[in-house]
Amino acid sequence: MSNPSADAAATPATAAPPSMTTHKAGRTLATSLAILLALGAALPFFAPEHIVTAGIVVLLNCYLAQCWNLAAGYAGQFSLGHSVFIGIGGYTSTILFTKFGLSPWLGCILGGILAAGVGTLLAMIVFRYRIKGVFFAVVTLSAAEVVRGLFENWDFVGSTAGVVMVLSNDPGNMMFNSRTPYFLIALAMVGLLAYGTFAMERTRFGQYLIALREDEDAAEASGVPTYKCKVAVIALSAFCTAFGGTFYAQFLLFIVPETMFSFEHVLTMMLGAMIGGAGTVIGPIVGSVIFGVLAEALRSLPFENSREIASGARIVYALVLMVIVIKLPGGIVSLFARRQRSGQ
Amino acid sequence: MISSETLFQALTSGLLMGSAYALIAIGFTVVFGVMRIVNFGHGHLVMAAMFASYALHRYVGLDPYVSAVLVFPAFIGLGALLHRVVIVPIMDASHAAHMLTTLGLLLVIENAMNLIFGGDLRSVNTSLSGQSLILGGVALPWTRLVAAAVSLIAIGGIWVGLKYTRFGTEIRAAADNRIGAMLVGVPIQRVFLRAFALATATAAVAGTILVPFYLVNPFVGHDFMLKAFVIAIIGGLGSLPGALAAGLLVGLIEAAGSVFLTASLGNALVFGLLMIMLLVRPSGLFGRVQS
Repeated sequence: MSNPSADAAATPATAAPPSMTTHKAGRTLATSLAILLALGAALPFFAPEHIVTAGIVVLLNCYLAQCWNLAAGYAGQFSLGHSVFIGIGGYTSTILFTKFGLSPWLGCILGGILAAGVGTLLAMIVFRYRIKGVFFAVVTLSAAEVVRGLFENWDFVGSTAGVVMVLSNDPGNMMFNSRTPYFLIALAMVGLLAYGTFAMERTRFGQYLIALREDEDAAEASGVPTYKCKVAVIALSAFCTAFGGTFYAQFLLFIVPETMFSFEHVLTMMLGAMIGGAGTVIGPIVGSVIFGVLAEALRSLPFENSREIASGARIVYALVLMVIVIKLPGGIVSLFARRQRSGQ
Repeated sequence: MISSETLFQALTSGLLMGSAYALIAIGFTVVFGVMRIVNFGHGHLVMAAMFASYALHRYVGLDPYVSAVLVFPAFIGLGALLHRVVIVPIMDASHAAHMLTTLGLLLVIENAMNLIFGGDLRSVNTSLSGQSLILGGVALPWTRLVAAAVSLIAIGGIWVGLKYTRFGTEIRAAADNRIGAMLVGVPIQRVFLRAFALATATAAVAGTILVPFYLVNPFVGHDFMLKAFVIAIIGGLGSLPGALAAGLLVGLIEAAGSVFLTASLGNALVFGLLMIMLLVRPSGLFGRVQS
């Protein structure tokens, strides 16, 4: 087999070429990530509750950005319809729980399978017709609008009124009175997916994805099964995203199409991944955490209400995004990666 | 059973709304056709123009139809500025970079408006508000009639301008073959600047004529953006007659959908049509096959 990563390494614009992440660098990364996770896990035991709540949101955003990063960052498939998979995950587990009493711990797996199925179907149609780039983005965006329209008119799932779950302290059904378990679950999700992404990067599949992102025709010509890889990565990304949907539903205990299928989720995923560094393991985490810290820092400024804080944070973030896309396409982590490489 | 009057009423307002959609889509499609840039922020420029009209009405007391005289040149300037600051740096970048940068522009406009005006829906009353033209049992609100008429005139004007003026010829040359146009001496950067300013100005016109009957908040831009996308692709990216036909079609489907089904299903129908179109005829109704 020819080495598909050679193309990737030749393009410094995309962050962290695999050649850099040698075994040693990988082990350093894994160790530092493990230490960070352990430190993070201690946070809810001493931090005040509003910090823990903010932390849960940040972690969920990290996780979702990581999911989006699998398809967009590694394989270059710019989905703008990932809210579909959040919605499917959240709705599947919630409906199974409220109507049939199935625990969301099991429901989230079914939601993941269903989302992967929808993702596979969509990807098969779209990639069969060789839709790519901007058109792929638009098709996924419209798919999200179609699915949201269907849910808003589907009485069985509560149409526009949605579904409310009654809070009880019920760990067997992923419901807790305390914020701490939610925080730990979200942290575990981020950690597991980071490890999963790290492992995927080292498989032949991961290298195929990077190759087809860099130059699809060249990858195809060197024997990469690009069609299968693209369908598989959308399915994988959808599967993971659906877990985020279930977690979001259990955290809010209230789902409506407007919040579950919101385009805002897609923007948040994209911002986190792109600013941190798409196509890297830690990029989406770095980007989302910075966004979370920025939002929290703005909270301490003398603004009148949360609307102004949120808007202000988003303006700053969007400007940062634009500057990064123009000046630093590899995201924040590419600064670090470059320095490390030149130091070696 | 739906009476024929209800149906006729819905279809007429669908056509009127469709004309305005077509105008929005034309600004979007011109930028794509000439510069090969997908401007996700276009719908939000329309929304910003609506807020500009709203502010001039609320704080200065100007009728939107009058304040258009201020908003229109202001948006030409805004377009030129955005071109310089946002578009020039990404001209040679990838499509992904185009999308991300213009999505960033979308976020900046949306949140700036949210910061200034808040998220509530706002309305503007004009001299024509509440009055309708009764035609064969169908009431046609004057504000919507004016919106459709202005849209059609603007679209016609742009079409004539592109066809018969020197500037239009340069734009078409640049759209057709950028390198070739540069070789024969078309000042390509100036053409891009003017095309983007023109597109932003059409957004200003659309915003001005919509605000008398369309409630505005910072999030309506999203809907315009999606509509512009759908119409531009169904009509064929870069095609003016295509955008007009597709705009009217989308207006009709939306109106029919809200009568026979529900508003959100009508919307889903429009996007379903887009997906089918992309699969069976990606070049659109009037588009040419592009290399």
